[in-house]
Amino acid sequence: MEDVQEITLLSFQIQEDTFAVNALKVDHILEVPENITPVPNAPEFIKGIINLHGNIIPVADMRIIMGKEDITSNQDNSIIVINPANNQDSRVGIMVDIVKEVIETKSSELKETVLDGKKGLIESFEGTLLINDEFIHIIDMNNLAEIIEK
Amino acid sequence: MLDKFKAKFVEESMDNLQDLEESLFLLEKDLENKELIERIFRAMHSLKGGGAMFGFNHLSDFTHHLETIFDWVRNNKLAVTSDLITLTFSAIDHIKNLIKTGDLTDEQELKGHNQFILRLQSVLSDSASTLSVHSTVDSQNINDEISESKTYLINFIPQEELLQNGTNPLYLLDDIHALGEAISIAYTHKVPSLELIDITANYCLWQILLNTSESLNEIKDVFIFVEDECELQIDLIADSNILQKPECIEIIKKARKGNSLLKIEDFQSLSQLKPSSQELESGEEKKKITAIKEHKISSIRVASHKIDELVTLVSELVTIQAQLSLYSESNEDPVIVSLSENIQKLSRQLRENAFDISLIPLQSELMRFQRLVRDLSKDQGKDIDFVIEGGDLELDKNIIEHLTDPLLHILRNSIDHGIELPEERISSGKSPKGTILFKAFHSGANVIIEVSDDGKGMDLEYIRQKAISKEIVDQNAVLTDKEVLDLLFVSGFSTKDAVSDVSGRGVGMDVVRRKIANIRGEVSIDTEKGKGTTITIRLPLTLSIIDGLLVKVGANQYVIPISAIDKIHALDPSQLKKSFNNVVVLDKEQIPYIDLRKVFNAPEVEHDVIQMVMIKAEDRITGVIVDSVIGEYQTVVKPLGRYLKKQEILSGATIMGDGTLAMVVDTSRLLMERKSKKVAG
Repeated sequence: MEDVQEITLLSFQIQEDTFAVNALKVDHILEVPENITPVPNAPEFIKGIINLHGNIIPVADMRIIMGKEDITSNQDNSIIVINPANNQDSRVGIMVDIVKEVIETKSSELKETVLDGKKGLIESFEGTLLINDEFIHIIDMNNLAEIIEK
Repeated sequence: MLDKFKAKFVEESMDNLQDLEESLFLLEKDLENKELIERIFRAMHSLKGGGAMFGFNHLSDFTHHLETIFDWVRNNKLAVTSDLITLTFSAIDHIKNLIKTGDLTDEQELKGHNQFILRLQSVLSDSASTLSVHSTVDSQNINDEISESKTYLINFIPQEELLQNGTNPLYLLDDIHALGEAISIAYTHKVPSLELIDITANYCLWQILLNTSESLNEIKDVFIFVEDECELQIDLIADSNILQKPECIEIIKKARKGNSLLKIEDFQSLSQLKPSSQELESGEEKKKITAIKEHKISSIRVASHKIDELVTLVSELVTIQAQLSLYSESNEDPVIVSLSENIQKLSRQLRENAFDISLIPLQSELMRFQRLVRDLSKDQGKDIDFVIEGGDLELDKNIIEHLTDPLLHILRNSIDHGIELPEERISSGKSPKGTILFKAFHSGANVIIEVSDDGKGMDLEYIRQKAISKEIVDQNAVLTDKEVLDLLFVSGFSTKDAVSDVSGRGVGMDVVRRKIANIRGEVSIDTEKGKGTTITIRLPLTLSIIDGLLVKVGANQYVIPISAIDKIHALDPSQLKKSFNNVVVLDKEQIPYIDLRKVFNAPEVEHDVIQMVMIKAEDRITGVIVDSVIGEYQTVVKPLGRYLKKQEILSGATIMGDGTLAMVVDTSRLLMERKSKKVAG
């Protein structure tokens, strides 16, 4: 038998797709502030930097990273501050359409994610979960961090 | 729990090793300095003891052999030679390794370890066979030891805290008794009445009369681990064994009965000694003890992350305080205004204090440099005097951390390429011994570090030819001396033809410059052929707070460090339009300029007056055009983090009083990018 681990996920929606990240590596969920300071010459998906309790946090737009074209904003948009390496330096905000819910599940429930097209920038997922006929793709945070770093 | 103690031991051992290295360097210059030998011996002794206590058995065993050598040295059985010092240096390296890795498990390493111990042992056996040679030199001292036993009076007055470290004073007494014939007297008159007694405290003190043929050092060693926790005085009272004399027994009886401490004078009738010289020594001993005590409370050890945290908190306070003053200005309540002013004053003091705490003396790194110079010069057969001035200068620890590698590289260059071999130096009329001067000093808000050697200097023509052959410059280019030296900083340029083990491994001055630039410093070179080379590093005092000029470019605010700014010019737009090649004429000088709006992709708005901030870097002035200048601003610079490190022109961001962000411009990087044409002017 494989080792079965309890996992806690935070799911969010980007247009018609649902994704999730490891909830234990989420530091904050924020409303999108009015004043995101744009960083000149940064990649397109970097929305800018924000001030979070006296620290500078870069914000990346997940919609662009996921290869979506329509990126109109509305008031449900949120920023999830993730911390992949558990240190100040690795904190980054990801902007999503809407934050959904916290999901408790087991690692044995995960299925391999089917990667077809080359639309988005993300290269690897930790797996896919099927809940109520809905697929939830779990994002590999380290891969995401690497992409933003590039 | 034990891990914590272990970590502490490792930390303390590193200090001990540093002390050891320092003493060795001094000893090398003054081979017979008793005090230094004593210091070395003590450091080794603590290493050995601590090592055994915390399970570093190999360390303890190894240090034991090393300690034995220095025990012979301090007892004049062995002379200090430069070979011995070299051996000790490599032994210290081995000890460092043992501390880092703990006990060895790798067989290969273990073999090396054992061989090293044999080498240490051979020092002793070699010297034993040649002892007769030394004995003539040291006959005086050896005679002393061979002579009859002596009687000492030992005053051992421990502090009340003695027991808290797990020391059992009775074991110490046992050790003393093992040295010879001894009579100890315990005094209990300080023991308080029962209700006042603290069961963890020690209230006893002892006097011991010891007759031994061992040296005074041997007696002192018994107390080596408790010397900070007690008052210790050892006096010679007689040149012979007086313990069995009836007068002596009488004196002891009296002391035991009356709880009155023995004095040296009590024994005057029994001894044939002139007390004068002994008193002198014990006085000195006392002084030493007090010196140690004072030193102990004058500094405490704090984990560096705690200091980082303090600095971060203070930085946040400064930010909040700025918000408060902004609020108090708009809200004309006089109470708030005065409160805000007081808080401003306090937070400024607190900030200065916190930053002062995070400064550490350069000294801590100098040991590595000394080692490098010593080891490399020996390897290469060069004779080099390494002179340090201003080693006590203090710098932000984050700066020092980033300074070590570049400085090591510069020193390597000086030894490898700069200082000539002794014969070469003599033939060019210099003293055979080369000098490398390391000098650190304050200059305004900067710290300057100069490394100069009196070696052969750099051949400008050679550098030029080399640059031409590498197609870095055009053959017909006319270059000033300074421009030629600047070529050294161009990536991929290295002047040494053969790649040596030391420097020239493809890492050149370009890396040095880049690393120094990372901590907002500048590097420059001065050289004179045949006379030597000086490398100057100019550094800011601290990394995290700077005085900046707040400017606006497009919708964003940016901070330009004031230290980089020469002045600000207001230009007529026509002045720019007339210029071609991005040069503006000011005071009949042609000044290149950079338009920050283009660099940051901001829309170009027409202004009636153009604000140009003049930036000074490496003796050159460059204009930087901004939309508007807002004013001076004290800035807490926060890093942009790993995700934005590609944004090299921006060295960080700062939080303004109203909570918005402004990005800090790295001027030297901006100018560098301009040179490499990545940035359009």
